[in-house]
Amino acid sequence: MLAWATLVLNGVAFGSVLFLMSSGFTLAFGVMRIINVAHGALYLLGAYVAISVMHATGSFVLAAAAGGVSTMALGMLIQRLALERIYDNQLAQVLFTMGLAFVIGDVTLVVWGGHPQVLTAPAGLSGSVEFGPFIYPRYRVFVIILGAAVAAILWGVIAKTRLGATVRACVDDAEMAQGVGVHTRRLFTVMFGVSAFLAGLGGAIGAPIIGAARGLDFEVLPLTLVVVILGGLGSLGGALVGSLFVGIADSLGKALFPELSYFTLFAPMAIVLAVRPMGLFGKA
Amino acid sequence: MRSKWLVGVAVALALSLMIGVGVAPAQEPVRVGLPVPLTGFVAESAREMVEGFQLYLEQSGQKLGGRPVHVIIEDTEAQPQNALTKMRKLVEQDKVHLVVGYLLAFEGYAVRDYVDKNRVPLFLPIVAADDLTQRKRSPYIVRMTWTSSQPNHPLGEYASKTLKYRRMVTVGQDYAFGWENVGGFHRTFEQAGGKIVQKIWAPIGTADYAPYIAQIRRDVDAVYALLVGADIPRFVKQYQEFGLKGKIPLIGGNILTDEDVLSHMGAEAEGVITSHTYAATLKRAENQKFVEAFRARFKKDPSYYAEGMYTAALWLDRAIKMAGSVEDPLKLIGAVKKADLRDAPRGPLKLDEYNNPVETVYLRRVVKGPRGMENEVIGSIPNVSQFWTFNPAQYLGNPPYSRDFPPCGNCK
Amino acid sequence: MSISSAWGGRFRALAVSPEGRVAAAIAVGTLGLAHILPPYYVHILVLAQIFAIFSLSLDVLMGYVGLPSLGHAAFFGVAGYTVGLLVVRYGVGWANAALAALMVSALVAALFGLIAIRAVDVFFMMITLALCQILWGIANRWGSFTGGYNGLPGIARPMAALESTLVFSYVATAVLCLVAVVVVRFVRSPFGLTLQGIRDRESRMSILGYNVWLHKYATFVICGVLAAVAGVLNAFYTGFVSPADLSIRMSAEATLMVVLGGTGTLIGPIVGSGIIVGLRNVLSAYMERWPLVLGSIFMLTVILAPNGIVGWVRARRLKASRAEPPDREAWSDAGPRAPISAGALGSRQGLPDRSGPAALELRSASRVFGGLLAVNDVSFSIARGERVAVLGPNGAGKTTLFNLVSGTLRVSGGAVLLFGEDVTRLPAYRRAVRGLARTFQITTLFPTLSVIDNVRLALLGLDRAKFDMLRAVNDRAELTQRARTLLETFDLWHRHEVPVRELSHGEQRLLEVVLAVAGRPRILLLDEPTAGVSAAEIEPIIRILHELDASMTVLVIEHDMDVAFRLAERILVLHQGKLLRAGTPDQIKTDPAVAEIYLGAG
Repeated sequence: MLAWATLVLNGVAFGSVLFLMSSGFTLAFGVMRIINVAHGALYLLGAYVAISVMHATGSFVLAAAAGGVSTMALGMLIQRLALERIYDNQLAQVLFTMGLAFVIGDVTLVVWGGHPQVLTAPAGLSGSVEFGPFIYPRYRVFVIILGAAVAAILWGVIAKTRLGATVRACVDDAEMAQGVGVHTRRLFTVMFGVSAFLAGLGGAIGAPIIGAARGLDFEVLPLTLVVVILGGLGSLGGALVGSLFVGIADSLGKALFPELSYFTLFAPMAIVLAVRPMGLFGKA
Repeated sequence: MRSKWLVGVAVALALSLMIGVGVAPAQEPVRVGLPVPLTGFVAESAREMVEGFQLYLEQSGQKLGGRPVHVIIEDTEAQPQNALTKMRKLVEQDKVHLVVGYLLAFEGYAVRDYVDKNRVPLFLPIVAADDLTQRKRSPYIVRMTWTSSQPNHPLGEYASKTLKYRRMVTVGQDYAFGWENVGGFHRTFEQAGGKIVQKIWAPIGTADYAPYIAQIRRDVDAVYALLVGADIPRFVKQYQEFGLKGKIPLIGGNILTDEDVLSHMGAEAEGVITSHTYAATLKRAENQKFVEAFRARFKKDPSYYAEGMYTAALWLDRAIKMAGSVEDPLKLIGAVKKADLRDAPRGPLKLDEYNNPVETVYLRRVVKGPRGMENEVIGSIPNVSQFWTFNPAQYLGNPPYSRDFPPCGNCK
Repeated sequence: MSISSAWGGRFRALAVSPEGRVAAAIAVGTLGLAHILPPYYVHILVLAQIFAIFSLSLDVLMGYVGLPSLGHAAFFGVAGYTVGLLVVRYGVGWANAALAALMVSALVAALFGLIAIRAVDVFFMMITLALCQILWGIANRWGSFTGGYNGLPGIARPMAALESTLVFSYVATAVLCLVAVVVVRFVRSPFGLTLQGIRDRESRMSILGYNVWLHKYATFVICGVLAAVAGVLNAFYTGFVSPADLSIRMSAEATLMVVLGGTGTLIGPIVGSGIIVGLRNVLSAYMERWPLVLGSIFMLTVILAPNGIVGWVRARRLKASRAEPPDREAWSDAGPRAPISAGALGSRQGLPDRSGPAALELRSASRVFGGLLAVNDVSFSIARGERVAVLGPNGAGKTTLFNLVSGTLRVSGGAVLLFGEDVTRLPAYRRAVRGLARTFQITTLFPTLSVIDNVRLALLGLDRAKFDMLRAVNDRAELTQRARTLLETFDLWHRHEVPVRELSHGEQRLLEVVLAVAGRPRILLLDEPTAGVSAAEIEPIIRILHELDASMTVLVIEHDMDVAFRLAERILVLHQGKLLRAGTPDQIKTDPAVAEIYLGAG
């Protein structure tokens, strides 16, 4: 019973990290119809930056902020310098971000070296909480709370603010939104920045669990894809449900069908694609 | 004007590419091919391999066996197809006399048939895949490191007889390297009276180890783990966070506490016992000299990647001197077999008749040292062969170690 | 003697055909290279050939159907793994293993196609990427079967002679030539033409009677099999398969080879694979930053050379040729026109038989758009051979009505009957098969295709020859003759080789009508055939409409009341989605309600 509770809780914690990543991916898609293949690379970059800042300052808050802000700056720069020129060609965007992912991957190798690194959580968040025989890492509790908080903030911004209204309009119909005079240039830059910020923040927050290592960029990308395809491209609610589903399915799958663990991730996606191609919460 | 100049440069470049840059020196040098995965996910370890080889050549005045050396480094991109392509380039284009390098098991397997058919002397200072010197051995392939299972055989016996563990769980990376490590440990641990009661396999690149750690049975004496790359720090850290550290001792296969991984780990690794053919802290004069020289040259601690390549260079140096030439592959390999390598940094080495070293296996425990976490040597078993104490013919009659071999009779 | 000369003739025919020239160029080029280059570069050449086959298969998918797959490595890898597993694990012979590999890949493509084809654009890319990732996962994680992370080594080459790289390069050349011939034939066939039509204007294709999904799906499977050919070759050549064969990077590099060379050019991907494979292996001798270089090539290509190298060269050549004065006759300057021959527009002459079920019947048809009733409970019936005009102010629901009839849109309620048959649930292409054709208010032609190819597509829509994948469409003399007759009838023959996007507006409107009547429909819907056409160009169009076969039922939307009254024997007036009036031109002219909405509106 305890083992099951731990497994589900783990799934939720892992799902929280997935949500940080996939919410950014799905927002960028919803507003700009872009598949950002470099999203995993931004995640990795955020993790590395956070580890360096943590070493230099010892402040976890600074480290996490630096992880997010650095990728946000890079994202906005990329949007302005390049993606903007090819906004009407989705294949070009995909190929561009694919190239960007390779470049970021190689640059992190030059800067941070190739050895796997794990961020050490700050003193207040390390160690475990214990209830009798039930032991659970404190940091994971923090990750779950943070994931919920980010979800709440994003939901608030989307539902209550003018920016959010614009975003919703774009998700529903990008062409119409442009027709009614949404200032797309600024909106796109901001949204791509926010998307990159969430990727970098995800990397920083995930760093004490997943760490930073070569190849991680293309390991987390498929997970993001599964989440957003399941939840529905462009849907924030879908990303939340998808993240939790994938996190828990991964955790239980590894326990119940260890040899098939990769299938427990992808099988639901294949079924959803076959039955409901637009995803659980997506709009056709 | 400017465009003409550009065209000129382009033509010159193209010509030099076609002809091959470089002019042959007066004395015919030994051409050595060094293919390693310089890009890709093991890039850092590959770099260290090059540095180890480089260090030896700098000490020997860029000579092997008294002859000048021309080293051609190639990047395999950690992809089997490129490992083979680069092998062909080195052999067919650069006409190398010998190839020393590769890091990953699949690189070794990818070039195995080519090397065997084309009679290329291939020296493997890192690749540990068991069968390359067992069921798929070739007279042209010489291993200068250990087989995956080799250091695990003594560890299994040690865990049962010395540490007195009776019931254990294994956590292994789910591919051949993991199977061979866990298999070797499993076999000798049970032979010495222990019981493996649960075997957990995690795919390479598992982002979160919590689901596996939650499954580990708590009614056991110890856990054996063998993981690779980024999976190591993830697992060891989470083992601590879920409160297992201090309750159930953790031991593991060789690379679980490699120096390059340890340098990025903290207290979570303390106390982990592993077995390996090398430790940077090894108190041998030859090793201390090597470690100091490496630190002075590259401003970091060496791990077995550097030591393996350094020793390979040393070994080849002596063999080439003995053979007097590098043109005949089997003569060169024969000399490698005869070379005296009692003074290698990691300890005495000699080849068995399957071209795999018989060497000392060290038992190491992670302790906090002045420069961070390090491996303290707590015991050594000399003259360990890849077949341990088993009869080679019988050993090779068994299937290779896998998920299902040895079978887990005590798991349920 | 006669046999040999027949063969000689055939050979000569092949030698001068485009695919023959392509194959000869590839063969001469690569065989020449293979003999000049040092051995190691022959190895690189073979790899480049394998990738050329792989990216060629992707080019057909991307350039001819507009399906940019990001998971094309799936079929390359599945084929390789099938060969590897059969040869290494089960000792199957090479020929059977290769055959099985193509079949397994076809099956996987058939399955993936079912999931992926209905998605479009960016969704298609993402789904193919994810599906390929599933296979990568299986290869990587199901270690006990697939060899897992280490892959599967030990695939022996079929024959001892093939151990030589040079000999293998002959085989690779032969296979590449074969694939190139197949691909060139394929894209020049009627089926290939339909693909270009789909890429240009999918919606028109279904109106012309094409099951667009089926054409895309078949191509997806065919390209999967062609990719599998490369996979089989690769497995035998390198002697092993590994998860890298199924990786994102493998798919991405193939896409890059296509885009770098030039999408849809066929030569482009071959050039692209040569460049990428060559660069990778030459550069690695000087630097260890290949991912950085590769990534930069990706980014620079899409920004600086979105049409690829071949596309760029062709554009420059085209520019050079444009410098010459264009051979263009203005439509209005055309000489006296021959009368429309009866044969072009249908052989049934004389008075139509108006007995039997109505040509078209609507029963309480409605269509809702987000709460708005665009068409509201409309019922009417039109007899065979009747000429009817639909009038109504802007936003009356005229075009929506046409969309409901043609099947472009489904009704929200009610029923549509064609010649007594309920077609309410049938898609557009199946209504076309039943004799329905239409034009569009906004010109909906195939802009990059020539005028004659536009007509060919219209003629092929109801012809089983549209599934012919082997014979060049140009070689179908009868089809070409029919197209020519039609174009001559409509006075467009002198423009038959011009890409449609270069026609004048009036010419495009006329061609719009040609496409609709080409299939000799029994019922024709004309959506404002004279919209935006200058006064000078209107008359010919109206004349043609008058000369249509009398048995043809015609329903025309007209904004211009005068034109409508001249064309129609009965008028339907729509207002705010409802059928306001139906009657003869004289009745409608004097109807006060009609006058009110027209005066009120205008």
